[in-house]
Amino acid sequence: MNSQDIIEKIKERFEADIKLQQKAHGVKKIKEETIFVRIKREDFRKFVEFLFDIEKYPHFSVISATDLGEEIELLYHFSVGYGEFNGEKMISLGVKLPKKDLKIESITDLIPGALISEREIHEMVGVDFIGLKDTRHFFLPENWPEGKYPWRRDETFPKEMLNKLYETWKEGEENE
Amino acid sequence: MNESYTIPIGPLHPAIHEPITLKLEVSGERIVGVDVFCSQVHRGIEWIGMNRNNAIQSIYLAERVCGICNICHPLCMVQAIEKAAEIEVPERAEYIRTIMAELERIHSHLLWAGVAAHEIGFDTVFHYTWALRENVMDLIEYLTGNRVTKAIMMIGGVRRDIKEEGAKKIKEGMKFYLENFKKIEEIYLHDPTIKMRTRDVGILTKEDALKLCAVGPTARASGVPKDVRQDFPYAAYGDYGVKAITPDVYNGEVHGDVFDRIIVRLLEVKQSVDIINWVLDNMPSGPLLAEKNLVKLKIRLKKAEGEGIGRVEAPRGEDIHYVRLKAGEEPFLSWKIRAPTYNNVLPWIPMLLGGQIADVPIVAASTDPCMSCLNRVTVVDTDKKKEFEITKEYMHELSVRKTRRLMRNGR
Repeated sequence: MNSQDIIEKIKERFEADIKLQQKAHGVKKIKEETIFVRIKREDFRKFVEFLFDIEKYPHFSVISATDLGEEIELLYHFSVGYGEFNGEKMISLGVKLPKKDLKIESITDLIPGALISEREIHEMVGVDFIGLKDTRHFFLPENWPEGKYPWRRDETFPKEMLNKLYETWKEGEENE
Repeated sequence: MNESYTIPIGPLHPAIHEPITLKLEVSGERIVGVDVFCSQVHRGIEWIGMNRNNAIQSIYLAERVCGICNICHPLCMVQAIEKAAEIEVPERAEYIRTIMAELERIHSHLLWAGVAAHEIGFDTVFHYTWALRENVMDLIEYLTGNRVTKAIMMIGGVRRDIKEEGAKKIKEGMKFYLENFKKIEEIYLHDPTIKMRTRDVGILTKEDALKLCAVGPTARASGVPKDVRQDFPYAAYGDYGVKAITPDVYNGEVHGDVFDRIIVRLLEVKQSVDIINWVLDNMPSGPLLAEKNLVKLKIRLKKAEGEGIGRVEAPRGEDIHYVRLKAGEEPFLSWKIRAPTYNNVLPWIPMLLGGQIADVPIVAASTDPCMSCLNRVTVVDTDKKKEFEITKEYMHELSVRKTRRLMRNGR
C-alpha cells in the first residue's frame, strides 16, 4: 500500500493532523516516507486497531515522549509493509496527554513487543498505561524514588540527584 | 522431583559480560519460566542530548552509545537531524556512509561468530575468527584514524574522504574476506558438533518474532524478511537494492534456531563484501559536506524547527532515533534512541522456555545482545522454591561440558 492510500484511509476514519515527510537518498533519489499522524486521545486505541487492517502484524519500534510544558506528547513509531524493496512506510502516531491526566490505554494486548517501551515511558515520564500488568522498573533501579521522572522538564525532574546518581544505590542498604 | 527453582544468572550476562539479569525458573534441567531485568547501567544519554549538548556535540555522544555500533548510532542521529532541519546530503557522502556501515557489519558479525564459538567451547575457532576480524579493524583504522569511535559522521555528510589508495586497500581487504569465506563457512556450517549444539536450540517461531517485534538477524533467521536496508532504503542502499537474507536461501528451510542465526550472519558478511565492492565501483564524485562551516551549521540548526526519524539497519537490527528540534534552542527538544537489542530481549523468553541451563549462554548470545545499547540471569527452582545465582564461569563450564558430551556420544 502506498502512502497516499494510507493517508486517504486515515482521513476517512479519523479526525487527524497528517504530515507526510519524504527524503530522497543516493544517486537514484529513491524516496523513503514517514507519515506523522496526530490524533485525539479517544481515537488512539481505534487507530492502533486500524493498523491491523493494513498489515497482520504491524511492526512497533518505540514510543518517544516530548515534554511540551502543559502536555506530554507520546509518539508511537510503527511501520507497515516490510519485505518489499522500498515498501515500508513509517507511521508515527502522536497523542497529547495533559500533565494532570497522564493516562492512555496499553497496547501490549495487541502488540506484546511494546512491553519494554511502555514500562520505560511509565518510569521515565510517569504515564499510566491502562491495562499494563507489569509496571516494574526496567531501566531505573528498583529503589528509584517515587514521583521523580528524569525525562520531564518540570518540578518532577530529580534535580537533586544530578551528578550524584550513584547515591541512589548506597552500600549496606537492605534492598541493595 | 515436581517442584522447581529460580536460578538468577547475573549480575553480568553469561555470554557478553555485560550487565543484564535473567531470572530463570527451572524444573530439574528444564527452563519453565523466564524474566529479564535491565536497570543497572542506564547512562541518561538522551537526557544529556536534550539538556546539555548542542546537536554537533551529540554526534560524538551518540557514537559512545555502543562500542560496536558506533557508525549506526551517529548515522541514525544525523539522518534524523537532516530530516528535521531539511539538509540535503551530497551523494558521495551517502556512499561513504554505506561503506563505513558495511565495514562495521563485517567486524560485528565476525566478533559475534567468535563469541558464539567461545560459548560452546571452541576457543581455537574463537581466536581464528577474531584474527580474521583484525583485517577489517585495520581497514577501519586506516580509513578513519580510529579502530573504535570512528568520528566520521557529520550532520549533512561525512568528515573524511576515501581516496584512491584507500579504495585500493578496501578492495584488497574485501578480496581477503571472499577468499577466507569458504573456510569460515566450512567451520561454522559443516561442523557436526556446532550443528548438534545449535540446531533446534532456542527456537523463535515466525509468529513470535512478528508479535514481539524482533529485528535484524534474529527476525530474519525466523523467516521474516525484514531489513531496513531493503524496506526503507537510506544512504546508497536504494541504488544497490539490498535483499533481506533468510536462512532458506542457504538450505531451503527455516527453523528459527541458533544455527539459522549463524547462517544469516555469515551470509550477511558475504553480502556486505558485495555491497562494499559495488559501492566502490559506483562511487559518484562531489563534495562531502552540505555545510562545511561548522559555525554556520550550528546557527542553521539553532534556527531549525521540526522533527525527523533516522532508521538504520545496525548489525543487530533496526536502530531508530527520533529527534525534535525547537527554534532558538541548541539541545534537542526531544531525543529517543531505540537500539536493536531493546526489541530483541523479549524474544529470549520463547527461545529459552523448554530449554536447558547449559543452552542459556549460546541462546542468549545468539541474538547478539548489546547491553551498552540497552542492560543479568537468576534461576528459580520452582521444585525447591529456592533462588541461587549462577556465575558466568559456571554457566560457561556447563555449556562447554555439554559440547564435550555431545562430541563423545553424538556421532
